[in-house]
Amino acid sequence: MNKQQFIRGLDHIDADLVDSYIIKRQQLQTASARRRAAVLRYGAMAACLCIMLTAFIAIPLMSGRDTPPDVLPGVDTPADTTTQFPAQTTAPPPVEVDPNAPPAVSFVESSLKLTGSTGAVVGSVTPEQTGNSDSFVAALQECFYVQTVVEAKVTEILPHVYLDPIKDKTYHVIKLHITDVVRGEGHPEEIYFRYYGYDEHLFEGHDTFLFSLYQIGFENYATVNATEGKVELFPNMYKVCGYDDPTYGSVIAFTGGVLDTSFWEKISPEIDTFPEYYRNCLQVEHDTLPSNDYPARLGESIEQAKARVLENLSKNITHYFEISLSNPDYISEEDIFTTDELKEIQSYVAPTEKSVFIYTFGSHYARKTATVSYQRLINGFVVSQQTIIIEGRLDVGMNAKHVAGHHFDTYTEFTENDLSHVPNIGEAIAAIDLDALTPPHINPDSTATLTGCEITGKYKKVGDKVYGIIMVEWLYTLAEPHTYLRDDLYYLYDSDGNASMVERDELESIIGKDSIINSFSYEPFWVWVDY
Amino acid sequence: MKLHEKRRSPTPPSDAEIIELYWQRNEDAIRQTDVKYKSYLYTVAYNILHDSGDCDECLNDTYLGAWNAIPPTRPAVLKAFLTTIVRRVAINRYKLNSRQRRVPSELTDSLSDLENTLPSHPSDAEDGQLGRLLSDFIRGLPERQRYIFMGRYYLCEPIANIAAQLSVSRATVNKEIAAIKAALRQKLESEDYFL
Repeated sequence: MNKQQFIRGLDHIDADLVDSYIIKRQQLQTASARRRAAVLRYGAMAACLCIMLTAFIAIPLMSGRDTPPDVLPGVDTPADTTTQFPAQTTAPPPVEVDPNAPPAVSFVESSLKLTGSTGAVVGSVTPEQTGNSDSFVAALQECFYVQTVVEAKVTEILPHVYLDPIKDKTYHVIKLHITDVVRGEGHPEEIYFRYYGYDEHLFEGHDTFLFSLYQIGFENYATVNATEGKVELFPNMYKVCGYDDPTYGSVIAFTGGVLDTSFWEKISPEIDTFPEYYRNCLQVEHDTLPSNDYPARLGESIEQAKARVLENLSKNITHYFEISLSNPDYISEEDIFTTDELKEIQSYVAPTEKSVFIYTFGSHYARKTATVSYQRLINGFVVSQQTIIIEGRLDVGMNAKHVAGHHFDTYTEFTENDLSHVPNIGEAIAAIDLDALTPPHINPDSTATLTGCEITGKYKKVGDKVYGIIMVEWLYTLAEPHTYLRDDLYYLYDSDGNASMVERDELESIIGKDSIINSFSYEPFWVWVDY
Repeated sequence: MKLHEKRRSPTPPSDAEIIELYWQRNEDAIRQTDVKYKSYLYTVAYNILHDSGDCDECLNDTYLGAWNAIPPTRPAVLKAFLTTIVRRVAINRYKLNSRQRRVPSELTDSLSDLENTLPSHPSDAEDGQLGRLLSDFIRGLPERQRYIFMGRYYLCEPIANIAAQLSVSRATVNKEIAAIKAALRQKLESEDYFL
């Protein structure tokens, strides 16, 4: 068999595989896919934007490249911590065991981009993304999701610019005080809200807002503060549902208690490439379409809008996928924890001082089926080794099973004792000085451009020890077209807070094969597609 | 962008409505398909061809293919149906181009991935038989690997895109691809495809 035969063979794979791939792709493909399409349509404009963003990213990150690679910025580790565990070549950021830190339980990815999310929320599946949009009112699916809905006031506008170097995006962050939870449960009164594409003045000039939200960070949500050139950690970070743009209708502003459409008129030309997706929030100006279930109406009050949100919840929503603190309204814990075994699990996953479980509901209302995944978070970081899934038919019975989160990992149960010795790698990450950190294995010349720097962290239990691992990865674009260079380094923390910088093989010898350990070569490589 | 321009944007029809237009032999079906799926289909074609002129032609051929196939076909997932067509059209175009010059494309790259996985000498296996074997193989993969396989080898998606869609690092996707390749090699060997 040769390559052409392989291609022809792929042409003959079962059609349902393509169908399910497309559906899954739709589930996963959110704003990024639309941005890619926008790049194709508006190539020149996007290219200019990319150049600006690249410069914005590269300049702050490269400004400290004269620092020798074996000196970690922001690190002041005492010498005695470097002598034992394992062979230490570089002093890592200081780390402390915080007995009060709430360890958490999680179950999804074995590692994740801290610059994107430390893990509370993975995503969401909407009827639109599953291709089954008929049962969902267009205005709801495109603008205002009834998943987590809160009424809130802006209490603080953070003055800094935040950066996701992987996604090439800059953000602003505001602090919200939740005055009423229209839908959802367990939300703290004070939350942070992240938005991109606008300046810090976006939320000025309005009294109160209704937000349609996702929670994207539970604790230690890490992002790069580009203004100050450091990693900053946040608790309880949220973003809007649907398109990554508040003015598309996921945020409704009220001034003097009445709908204020001027908020939407701030829509960013950077994002405004899909006019069909925000027409629904403008339909409120007509209010003539019988299918318009967008919750706000011209001249109406916030109380009327909230009432319409609740009214919309009673509609026949057949697909639902809810994550983190918000429960689907039609499933209660009593529906799930029905047997003695499940009640025992309910007790096991209950929050304690040292750990928190996040949960994911996947349910099909009409079929009365549900899947609930409990995932252990430790100190805000997803742990892939421990997952408990409960699934079944609500009217027949639910069953529990324990699975591993990744094919490299095995199922491991964390005990209270384990959780009492957890190094605070979030603190260590925040202590890393991005400006001073340099790649240890490569020597990019002056023509190389730093394209991105990724920091990843996770906890792993090996035997009776819990380790914290931090991985830093660099990507450089070289002068030769489509040629790149990568490097990485690893910090390993033990449960006593001892730390060292380790090479890949050393790390693997201690924690075993793991998805956080890269396998790429440190030589230049060529790919056709630009990063 | 003026708000009033947006207000007049028509509501895109549902897939069922578009399919119905095809069944009615209403040429508006092609226009609506173009409005709704052009950018997506263009991306699929572009991953394979990396040439905007070729992509435009591919899209036209895809619409024609859909027009000829519906009816009698009534696709369960219109987007997947169109994906199958545009992929075939684009690969045929790719083969044509390859005869004349080396085509730098994501298809080239994704096949290069398999350089050490596929045997160098041809087998006499029927394409349909290989298709069934690959279907079984794909079904046996864990969900994430299945998604990566389809994205990388069926649609020739760049690794960076797949990583972004899955919200994982490129290193993670590369690791999954390595695992897929090892499993694929084992599967092909077990079915005597290397003999």
